Amino acid sequence: MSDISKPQGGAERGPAHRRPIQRREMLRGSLAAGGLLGATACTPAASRFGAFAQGHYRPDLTPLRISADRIMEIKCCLRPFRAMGPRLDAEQIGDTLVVYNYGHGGSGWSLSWGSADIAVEKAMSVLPKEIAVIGCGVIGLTTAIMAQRAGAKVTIYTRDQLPHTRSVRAQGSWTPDSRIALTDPAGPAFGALWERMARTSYYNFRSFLGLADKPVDFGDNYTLSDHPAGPREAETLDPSITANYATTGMPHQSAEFASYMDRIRDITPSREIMPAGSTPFRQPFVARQSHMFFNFTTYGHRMMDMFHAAGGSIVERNFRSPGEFASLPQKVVIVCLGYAARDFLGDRSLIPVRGQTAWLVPQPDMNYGVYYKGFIALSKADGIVIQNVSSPLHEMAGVGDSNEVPIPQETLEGITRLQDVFPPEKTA
Amino acid sequence: MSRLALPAALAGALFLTGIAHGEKAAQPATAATASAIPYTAAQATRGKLQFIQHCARCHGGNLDGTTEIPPLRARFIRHWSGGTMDEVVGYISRAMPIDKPGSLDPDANAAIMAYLLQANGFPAGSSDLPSDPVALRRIPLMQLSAAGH
Repeated sequence: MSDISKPQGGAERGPAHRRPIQRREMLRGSLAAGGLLGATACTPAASRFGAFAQGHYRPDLTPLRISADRIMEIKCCLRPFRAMGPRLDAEQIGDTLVVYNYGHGGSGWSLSWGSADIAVEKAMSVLPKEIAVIGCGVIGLTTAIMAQRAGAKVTIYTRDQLPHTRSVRAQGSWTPDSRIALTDPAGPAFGALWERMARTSYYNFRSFLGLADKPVDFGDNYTLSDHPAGPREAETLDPSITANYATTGMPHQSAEFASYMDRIRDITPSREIMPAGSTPFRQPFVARQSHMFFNFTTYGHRMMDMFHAAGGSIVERNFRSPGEFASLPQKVVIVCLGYAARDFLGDRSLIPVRGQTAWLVPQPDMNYGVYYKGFIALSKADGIVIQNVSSPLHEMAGVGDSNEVPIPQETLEGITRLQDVFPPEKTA
Repeated sequence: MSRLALPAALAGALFLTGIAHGEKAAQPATAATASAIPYTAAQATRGKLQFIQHCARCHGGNLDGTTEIPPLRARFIRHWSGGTMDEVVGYISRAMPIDKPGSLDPDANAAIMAYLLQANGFPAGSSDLPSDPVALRRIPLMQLSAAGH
């Protein structure tokens, strides 16, 4: 599960560094003016156009309806975290080449295409005509489509299919370095691999932008505060904590987690400080950052359709042991098991990192998010997702916790806090 | 590959509608295989108590699961059928409960499995399902037909 409160690359930037106004904002401004040709000097829209010309304007946001009675579902994810980064190696089992593609922490959705690209490249090294993919979460399905694009006939073997897999318990934001690795165990070479995966994924996600059903979308995240925020500082290792992954096999502080977003600053929108009074929020200090997110429903349908349209087939199957892979008719197998790999492959390097999201009734026309006092509300087409990221443990929150039972209090606390931003609507 | 087993009264009287995955042809099973999974009603009752305490909060009191958490009826048996009981009991013992994997003792895991067998229509007998993996490995798990429930 991802966490959009983490700034996605770049330092704080003040108003003097405001980026150029984006095409969509310009379009919305022109539409509000009744179309460029229809605009006249005396309409309210025209006065807004004047503010636009001065370099700032008030975002046209409808309040999010945040209340407990609108909860559709609360669910937990287990981010499949590996200190050294995702497993992407290959091995020969009998006459079968087995390629592994799992362990993406909180970045599975974000890195799905890039990780699939690497796994499929290894799988295609023996020029198979057919490939088996094990698992049908976002990693398995993406890997299967990538293998089809490489020319293979693909069969997915899976116990469950989207949306019945753990993948849909994620939050669904583009957060490609969210608990993806620990800096030291991953080593310096992983940064370049991560960058390749991130850029490949980003490129592929862009091909879903602009579709009517919005499988992938962009929105603005607003970070709200009652106090001026200083520049965010990178976390540094606390020397008083002597235990670490090398000594215990578990991380012990947030600073052990790797951060790679600086590598893709060129494709990452900056975080901007909004001028006082330039937003509808009553909180006085507001920062804004555009970000990409995934709507699980339409994205899942699109992916399944793509897979089937390319001749893919899905077989429901519950494997009991890895040795069964060699019994498949396909002699190249890509294993995309996510957290299930911990038991199935006995991979104790796979560490669960628990997260929880609540999903409120969607407001499909609103595609923005807020972060306030440790809580996130993000309005997507598939629901308004509420997430509590207020733990002082930061990246350590949920590490080693494989409890998949929702804790409603976490959500209710978030709803109460977010109602400071979106007071409940007064009704008759 | 899944093979189906039918109770004696139905064996040979119904067509087998397997969910074969291809490598082996579906094989009719005898009454002996269907009734060869030992467990007692008392063991299942003990298992139900364990299930309520350790499993129901995820899998549901009716074993129906949720959108993302597998049900423990129907396809659960199908997924494990064709093998031996040590596989499914071993999985439960190692990987469950999900938040404290491996925390239940062997007797509790065997009792939970007995309850799952009962809930899936397997007939109780006069001896308990063993908890010893070696003994479990000698017990095939075959799916009952829908008509057998």
